[in-house]
Amino acid sequence: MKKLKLYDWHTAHAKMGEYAGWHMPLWYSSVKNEHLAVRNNVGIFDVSHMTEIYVGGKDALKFLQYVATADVSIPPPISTTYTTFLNERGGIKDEGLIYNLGDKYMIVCDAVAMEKLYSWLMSLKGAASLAGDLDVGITNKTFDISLLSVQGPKARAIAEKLFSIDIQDLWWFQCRETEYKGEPVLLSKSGYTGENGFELFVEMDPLPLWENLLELGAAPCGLATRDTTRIEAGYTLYGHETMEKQVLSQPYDEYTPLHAGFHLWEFSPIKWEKDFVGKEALEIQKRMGIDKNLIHLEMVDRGIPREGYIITKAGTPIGEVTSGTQSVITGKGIAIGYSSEGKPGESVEIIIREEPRKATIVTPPFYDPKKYGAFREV
Amino acid sequence: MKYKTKEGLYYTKEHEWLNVEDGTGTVGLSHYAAEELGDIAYIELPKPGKVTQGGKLCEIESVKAVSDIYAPVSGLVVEVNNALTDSPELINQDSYAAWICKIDIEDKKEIEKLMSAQEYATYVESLT
Repeated sequence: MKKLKLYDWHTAHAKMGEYAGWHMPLWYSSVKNEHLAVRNNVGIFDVSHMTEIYVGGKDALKFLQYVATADVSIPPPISTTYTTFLNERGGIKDEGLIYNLGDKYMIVCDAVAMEKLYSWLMSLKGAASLAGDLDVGITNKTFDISLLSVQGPKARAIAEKLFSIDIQDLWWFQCRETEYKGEPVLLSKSGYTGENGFELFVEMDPLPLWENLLELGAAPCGLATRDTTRIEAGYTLYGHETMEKQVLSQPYDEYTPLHAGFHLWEFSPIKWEKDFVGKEALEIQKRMGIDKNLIHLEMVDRGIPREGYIITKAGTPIGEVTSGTQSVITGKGIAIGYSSEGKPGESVEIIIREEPRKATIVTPPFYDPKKYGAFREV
Repeated sequence: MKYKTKEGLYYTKEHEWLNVEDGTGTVGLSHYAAEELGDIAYIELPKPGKVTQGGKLCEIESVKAVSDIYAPVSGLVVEVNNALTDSPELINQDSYAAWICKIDIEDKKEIEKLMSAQEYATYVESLT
């Protein structure tokens, strides 16, 4: 099993568990305490298991424009782009961020598909479809880089104190190169909780920085809280909402970005005006019609929806839950899933322990955005 | 971490405890089980009726996952702790006070198959 650089610290303070082949802290005090620290104060997550891949060389941009669905040519200051990586069938190989670091690019994705994504990029680098020899260097930096995520309404004060950076001055996803005790730090205004916050990429021993963040009042938060906060914010996770099917039962039986509705976003990660792997399949799918859509569900009845539970409408199956938990903020069961029908405001049922239980399709986030999250009214 | 056990109770390998008074057994979860589950978010209490030793009694959910609770003895479920429906976190607070149900024990000999508090403490130590 793979170990984080802070493995010793975590095992001394947390209940540990396995995720994507890594020893990970699940919780330190309790999910509820940690979740509330993120929503009301500030929490820190050691998410160094996340995948970082550098793409450099003269043709790095040309290569990324072909392998990623998003337009990654956007220059700084908005130097980070959310994207999906597709197979030829439009199925999602992975989803994540591409950082423009000036001399190179950095891909940041969840840990689950690290090996798969890396070999996929390597195979595309040699693909005939990219006519001619490309000057592209691909390096897996996952084991060198630690990633600490500082999340919550009080994250701003910490960035100010440690780095003299006011994160209110940064666009969402914008980065700054800074330092900690003479060591380089890449600060990115980003996160996965729905809250305001920033993330720190470092290659140094992360322990002094981690302990400093704790001294400044941040609560250590484990992977369980990372999941409850991301579901509450309505965010997708690779392996759940986005995935690649290994066995195909019929053509276009993939979960594509169109199923997830990514093409409808204001800043869509699908750039139709360029060529990219999987584009043809998406165009065909668009013509033929999209047979299922990503939906967000809030329980009316008691019960916690879980991955794999069936969604019905008036007794007829219409879909399946891909992620579910109990919202710490509202106390209600909440879920993300796919269904063939249904719009926000409509009533459906989720089959929990063989019984249909009432739920409503809602628009995320699952908390009141006036009271919680990055856009709360202060 | 030192997990609490309680003298006089009987324990199963699945981490339920059983307190026997006359012919009635009160069932709950051990401190170890509560700590392993983490924040308990929901419990589907047992339905009144017959249960079998080692068979499924009911389900409990932490924020993260669903787990089964097993019947430590065979018999009839005669009472459930309805307070847990609204406050399942009582199990995290004190799993020896937060009982789940009472079973009218069918065959007292089944109790012999369970562990004493001391045996259970050794068993838990072997797991951690």
